Parts: sequence; C-alpha cells; structure tokens
Amino acid sequence: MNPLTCDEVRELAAQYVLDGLDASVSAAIREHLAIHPDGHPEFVELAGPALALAYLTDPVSPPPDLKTRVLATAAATTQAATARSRSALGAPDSAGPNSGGLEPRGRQPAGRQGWRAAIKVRRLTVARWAFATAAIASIVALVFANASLQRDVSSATQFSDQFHRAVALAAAPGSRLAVIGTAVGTGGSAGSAVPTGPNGLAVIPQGGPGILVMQGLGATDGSQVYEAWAIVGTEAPVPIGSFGVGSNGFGWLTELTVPAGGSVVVALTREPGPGATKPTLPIVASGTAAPRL
Amino acid sequence: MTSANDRVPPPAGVAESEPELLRRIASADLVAFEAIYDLYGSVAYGVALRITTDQGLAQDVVQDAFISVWRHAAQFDPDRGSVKTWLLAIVHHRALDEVRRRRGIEGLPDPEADPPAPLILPDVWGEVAGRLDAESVREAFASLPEPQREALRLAYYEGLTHEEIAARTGTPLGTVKSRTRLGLLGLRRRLDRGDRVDGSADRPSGTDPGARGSRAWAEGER
Repeated sequence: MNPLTCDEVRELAAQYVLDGLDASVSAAIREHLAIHPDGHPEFVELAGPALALAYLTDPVSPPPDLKTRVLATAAATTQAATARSRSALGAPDSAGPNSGGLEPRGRQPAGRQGWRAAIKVRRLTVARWAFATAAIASIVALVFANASLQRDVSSATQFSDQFHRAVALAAAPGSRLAVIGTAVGTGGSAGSAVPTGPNGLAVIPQGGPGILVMQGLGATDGSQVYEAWAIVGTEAPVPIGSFGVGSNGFGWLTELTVPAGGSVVVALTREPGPGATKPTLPIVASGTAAPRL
Repeated sequence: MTSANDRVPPPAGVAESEPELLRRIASADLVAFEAIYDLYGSVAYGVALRITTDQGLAQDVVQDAFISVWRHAAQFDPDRGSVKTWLLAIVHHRALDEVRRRRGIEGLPDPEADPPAPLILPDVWGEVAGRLDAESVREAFASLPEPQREALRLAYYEGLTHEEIAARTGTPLGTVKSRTRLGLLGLRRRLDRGDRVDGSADRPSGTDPGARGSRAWAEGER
C-alpha cells in the first residue's frame, strides 16, 4: 500500500481507533504515525473514548468451565515457556533428588498453629477439563520437541511427561484438580523469592494415586525437601510426600494418596529434611482440589 | 471519582492491588492470574458475547484475551491505565476479528501480530487512566444524539466499516464519518466534564499524557 498523506490519515482516525480498518490500511497508518509521532493529536483524542465503549456492556457470567480452560492453558503455557527457556540457556539438568514415585510417608497429625491462617482456601470449579487436554497436550509436545534439541534435557522431559500424565488423569471422571500457587493476599513471599512463582497442578483421581507437578520452585540444598500436605475440613495437615528440586525448578510427586471425598487443600512447605510431621511455615504454595461439577 | 483500582473491589481473599497481581502474573503466578480472571472474567465475557453473539466464539475470545494477559503481563504499565481497560481492548480486538472472519472479510489483521489499534497510540492511557466506570460511560453515551450512538454501536459492537454503516443505515458516507468522529469527541467531552463536576479527575500518579510513549508497552500484544 502506498504511503498515506496526513489528510488521509486524519480522515481515517476514527475508524482506526475503533479497529475498523483492514490490516494493510492499519499498517500504513502505523507507519505514518511512526514518522509523525506528534503530528496527529486527533488519534489520542479519539482513542480514549473508543476504549471507553467497552464499558457499556453488562457483565455476563461465563460458563464455569471457561475458567478451567483459561487456567489450564495458562499453566501449560508457563510450563512450555519455562522448559524452553531452561533448554535455551543450556541449563544443566540438576534436578537432583526428584523423588517421583515416592510413597507417602507417615500420617501423623501435625500441629495446626498458624497453618490455617496461612492458607487461602481457593475453590476452583472444574468441569469439562478434557476440553483443555488437547491444547495442553500439543503444547507439551512442542516442549518435548524443542527440548529434545538440547543435550541435557532429561529433567524437562520428565517434567513434560508427568505434566502430560496429570492432564490425562484430570480428564477422568471424578478427578479432583487443584491449581497450586502462592496464595493471593498472603504476601506472596514464595512468589517473590524466585524469578517465576511456584505453581503447578495437583490431580487426584477417583481411584488410585494422584499426581502433583510443580515448577518455579527454589532449588533444595542438601537434605532439604518440599513436603506436600493434605488438609481436609478441620483436620490437621497430613504429609503426603516429599521431593527435592534442582536448579530448573521442576518437581513432582507421582504417588499422591489423598483422602477420598470432597475438597482437600494441597499445600507445599520447605522442610530441612524428609519425614516432617508438622509443617514448617511459610507455605510455599497451596491450592484446593475440588470435585469437578 | 476514584481510581479504577479503588472502584473494583477485589474478590474475597484478594488483598493485593491490580499492579501487584500483574507483577505476580508476570512471574507466572497462577493464583494471581485466577484472581484477575475472577475480577474481570464476567465483563470480558459480556463484551465478547455482545460482539460475537455466539457463546462458543465468545469463550474462545475470552480465553485468548486472558492468555494474552498471562503472556504479556510484564509489559503492562499501571501508570497508563487499568487492567480492565487493557483487557477489554484486547477482547474487543479479538472479538471483531472473529466476527469479521465469520463474515469472510479479507485482509483481516492477525490478532497475534497486531495489537488493538488504540493501544499503540502514544499517551492514550493518560487520557483515560483510572477514570472509567460503567455508570459514567453509560451516562455520557446516553447523552449523545441517537445517530451518533447508532454509528458508534455499529462500528464498535458489530465491527462495521464506515462504508458498511452507510449501506446499512442508508446514510451518506460522509455523514457516517462525521457522526462517528463527533460521537467519539462528544463522549470524550462528556467524560471529561464528569471529571470536572465531581472534582476528582485524578490521574494516577506518574501518568503524564505528554511524557510517556506507549509503543513498547502496547507491543506486549504482539
């Protein structure tokens, strides 16, 4: 398209700010404005009210499963981006003592002091999870393909596998799903302590063990572990498994045994060693696994 | 009039400001992302549904828009406007794209490659930052002459071009152009007047219409 004159651009300003022009004309206007950044105040004058028009619409509650789709896609996008960035940087795979497949340890009730106050119980309505599965699976496949180009990607690959498995489990009828993250409103200490906030998914199928996949965790040192806890109703937290994390921030548990029934809070704490029976605050991340509707 | 953040009460359990939530989203924090969805999912869906008039398409549009926020949260500049306005501009852009695709219009912009047009203009957000709320916009819009309202409705919510509006309404093209332009200017004037009336046209601190470029921020949409 030929370059536009100032008069032509002025004539098109209203239609431009209303997103009413085709791509080539919009591009020509952008080029013109780049050359004359201060020459067309009418665009600024018109764009503000154009943006305001969105406020004329009444809110409409979207179907509950849309939230699940959005969160699941975001989780998958994060996972892809993180795995790619690690691979691109050539980060060594030092996942260390990831204890996938770890059997849950003892179930002694832990003390509750400070525990409940630290958890923001968040209910996630989960339905039609399967709708998101295809999108997630394709992203995971992309991660795998990308990661496979790197020399040392075993941890990213394992994480992808576990994430994929979690998604498949979540699609099963009766599964409970929790989005695990730093609780909003609690200061986000864990979220600010690492470049990418710890987050992930816990999936608890109707029968058989569940799975927890996490990313963005700080690396554990020495005997340190991340301990996962389950808390049902007003009961005390119960340890359900622990794992170590390497410099890539990935961690997972593949044999989660969580009490059956309704909602359960799944939370992570960082412990000096395995075998904790009482959580050491602060909570790194938490979420509520609720039955799908 | 208060700031946008003051006007939108956070959902139960959310104590953080929008900029803080966006900062956390930029760090891939799903919980903060969920909080933003809880705040604006309904209004985003309302806009998408009104434009597409199709529940499935509207859901896809809302999902795309939120994922765009998720991916580009680091580019959000709180001094230049509210999350809500930013999000709704993206929703509008994507929804029109879907509508036009359905109508088989050629030369569609690529929603991934092209940001919403108003978002790449310099200093736009200084003009509206933190000052919009549904009630004041509705009042201002209602006070416009009906022909101007109709032109804006057809352009904004149906994605019609000036030529299409002219054909639909049987109005000369020049008249349509002038109604659209005058409608936008009238809306702006009324919103500005509203700010003066209540005496609190507070622009969030750091918002200087003359000082900040917007391209880098808006390119978060690319």
